[in-house]
Amino acid sequence: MGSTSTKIKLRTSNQKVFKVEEAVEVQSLMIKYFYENGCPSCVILVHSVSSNILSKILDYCKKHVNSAAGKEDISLEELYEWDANFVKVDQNTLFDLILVANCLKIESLLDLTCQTIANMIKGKRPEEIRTTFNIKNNYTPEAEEAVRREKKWAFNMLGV
Amino acid sequence: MENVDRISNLPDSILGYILSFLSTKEAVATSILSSKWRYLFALVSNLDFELDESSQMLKISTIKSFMCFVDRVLFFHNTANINAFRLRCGKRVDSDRVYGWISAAIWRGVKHLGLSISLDNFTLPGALFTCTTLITLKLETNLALNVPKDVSLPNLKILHLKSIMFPNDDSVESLVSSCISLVELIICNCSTKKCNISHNSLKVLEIIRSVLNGSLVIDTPALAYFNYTYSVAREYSLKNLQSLIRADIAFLDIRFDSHQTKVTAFFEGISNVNILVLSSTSLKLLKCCEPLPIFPKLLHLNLYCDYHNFERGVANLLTDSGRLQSLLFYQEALTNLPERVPHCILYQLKVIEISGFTTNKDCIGKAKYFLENATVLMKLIIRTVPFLSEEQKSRIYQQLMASPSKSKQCCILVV
Repeated sequence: MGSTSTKIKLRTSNQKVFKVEEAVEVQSLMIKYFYENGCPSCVILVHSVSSNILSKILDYCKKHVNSAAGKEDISLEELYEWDANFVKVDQNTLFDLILVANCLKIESLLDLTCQTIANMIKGKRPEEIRTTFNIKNNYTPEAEEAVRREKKWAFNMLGV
Repeated sequence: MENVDRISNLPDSILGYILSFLSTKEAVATSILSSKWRYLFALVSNLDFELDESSQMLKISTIKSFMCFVDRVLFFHNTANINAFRLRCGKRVDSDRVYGWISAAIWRGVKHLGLSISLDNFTLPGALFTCTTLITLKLETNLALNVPKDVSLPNLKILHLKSIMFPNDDSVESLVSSCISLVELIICNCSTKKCNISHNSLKVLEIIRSVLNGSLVIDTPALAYFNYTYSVAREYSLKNLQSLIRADIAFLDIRFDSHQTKVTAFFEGISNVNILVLSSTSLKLLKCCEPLPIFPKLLHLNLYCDYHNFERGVANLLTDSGRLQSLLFYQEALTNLPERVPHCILYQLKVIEISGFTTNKDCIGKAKYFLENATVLMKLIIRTVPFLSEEQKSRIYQQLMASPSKSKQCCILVV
């Protein structure tokens, strides 16, 4: 895997340690911050994720670094399409990606994944959203009524 | 694993971020999902409120509940800062409330503010004009805007002004010069007497359908893009446009004779441009200029047809634009093929696109003219009129392929 000068490692909460590839370094504001503050060899703790997720993150970073550097001939539309395919994954993977992107502060990936979740909420009725994400409605009927009254405008408009 | 509610277990900051991608109405509506979600909407940093008052049937109760809703969201909203705030409403919303909402957004350090309001007798909060956090301001209103003397928007980069009447002569000038970081300025459907835009960092300027009863002065050494779509103003002074890359010019006037001096000054001002997009009316005006303007740095020229009024006379322009690399034009714009082939056709032109193409001899002749003369032509694109059949298109293609071509590597496309 090319020459990587990095000494920063990631340790997941299930105690696995990963070396950070160069492309991730470029995209991650967190790692940049560590370097800039004179901490070139340390271990960043990330949420419990599998190596599978980290390799997906690496794919993402490589693609974006290469296209930004002009190493790869890819149009903006093609990159959007690539992104769109990248997030066609199951929910669990998506949430893992969000957590790592958030932890390493990879902003464009955080935008992409959060937007994907937002799209899954958009235009749905509350019951559909609950089913999509396994959210349990723990309101008592009285409390639910109170919330409805409080946000009357929003619910009216959504036809709920 | 399948039945775990992972979304509700995300950190609040991420949930707030996810909700920021929804409209404020949808974000607030998620509070019904479960108790965890009840006040999450308060973390959203982008607020977007819109009341569509176009319907005559709009009930008073709907307007009231809209106002309550905005009040409440702003009341519950507990992030220290609002990133973006957008408000769109009409005449029937209470103007004191609107004043309060805008003030609240400014108070919480809004960075991107979009207001589209049409209230009678409304005055924008004075604090709007001294807001140091503002980066984007998009203002659309039927109001007459009195710009206060102490206006100062030091971080504003993008300013869009729409449908505004400036009663004071120097309003635009003082507003623009007070925004020292300004990069993009769009003035659309506005009305002002004088329009003086002098700015050192402005890169994008669009003046669209805005009534200029007086002179238009532009002095912008960093300007890269300029769009002018409207009638001819009373007077032009365009200075220091040495950085101009692209200009889109669409004059809407057709009273030519009286405009000669003004338009000559206008085109002289933009003569450094690399990419020029001209409507046919603009080309007509350009031809009336005395002396004819010269565009020595022109690389790309796009002539399109507005209305049904096509203008002839590309030839002159070609003769004077020695570096032109690409040319797009409506076929009727070129009537006389210059006998002495212009330098740019011989040695520079790489891409030619001809639109409005039909099967008649004249059209084919024009395309052949370019093929026979353009040494370095890479692409000839023929855009036919809509009613041609596939068969007719392929006949055009064959005719052009059979004609002698000076360039060895030219590809022809008929679409």
